Amino acid sequence: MDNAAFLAMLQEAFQRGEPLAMDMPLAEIPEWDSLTAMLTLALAKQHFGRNLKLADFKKTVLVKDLHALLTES
Amino acid sequence: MLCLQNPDRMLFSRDHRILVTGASSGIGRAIALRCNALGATVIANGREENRLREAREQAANAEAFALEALDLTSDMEALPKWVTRLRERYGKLGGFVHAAGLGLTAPLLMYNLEEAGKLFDIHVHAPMLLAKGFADRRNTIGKGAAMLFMGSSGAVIPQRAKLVYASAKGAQITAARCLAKELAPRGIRVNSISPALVETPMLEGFRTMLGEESFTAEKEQYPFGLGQPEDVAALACFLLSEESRWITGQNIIMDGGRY
Repeated sequence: MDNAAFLAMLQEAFQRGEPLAMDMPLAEIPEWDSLTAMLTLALAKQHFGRNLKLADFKKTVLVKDLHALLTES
Repeated sequence: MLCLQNPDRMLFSRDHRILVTGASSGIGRAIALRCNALGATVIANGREENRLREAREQAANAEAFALEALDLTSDMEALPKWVTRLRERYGKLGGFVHAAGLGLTAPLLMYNLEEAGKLFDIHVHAPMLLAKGFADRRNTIGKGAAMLFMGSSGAVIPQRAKLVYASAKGAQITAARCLAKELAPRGIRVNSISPALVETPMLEGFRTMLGEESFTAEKEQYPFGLGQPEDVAALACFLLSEESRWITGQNIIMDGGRY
């Protein structure tokens, strides 16, 4: 999944009107909450076959960190 | 009814938009009309536009009573997008009431997969997909929003020949409680009302099936008489309003003393 497709998927998951960018800090995205994090876990499993835990998100600061977490092999 | 916490204003403001399914008749119609009378803009859904028009003729504020005819089970996957279209047309939603439903009185020997599927579609799948659209933060006002599901006392108190209807309602009530947990961080409350027998068109089918003698015996079990749609609507408006801001995840039984 390329960056544009990843950002579009995340924007839909976040139910966000404005587009996201890879260098955005997650903490500054108002839609990034516990429910969105749970949804991201489900997306990680569905789209990337990754079994992540909520604790894994502690390592992520920027949107691109989330991308790396979901796509790293 | 004015706001109890602030008696100078109505319970709802005109920009508080409430989607009510099953608004053509019975409890759904009573809720739609009461919400409208108490100041809200109502988006009334039912299968038939002409019956929705009849409902609007009774509305206190007909200009704030929009009609959206749709058979909710015709394309359930499309329901979240339908809610998005409603938001685009009317603005963000503050309330959602699912009162659309189907009745069924049939014992185990008459269990039929297709019929059971229809009941689970209208009582579980359709409302959850509507809830998915409603809870989308692009469609809802967020904090202050409320969802309300019409359950049934039969889901809590077992009755003969009601296994499909009661289990579908039971699934809906449990799903609503899960939603309440899930959506509380976003300030959205979710509750259910479970009425016993209410004098609606749906009751007539039950009465016919039961026979007059048995129906009269059943009626005598209600010390405060059978319910009226307006009885349920009064509680519904309270649960949709900020007056009940500390109540979520509840299933409130209304049965006129028959338990």
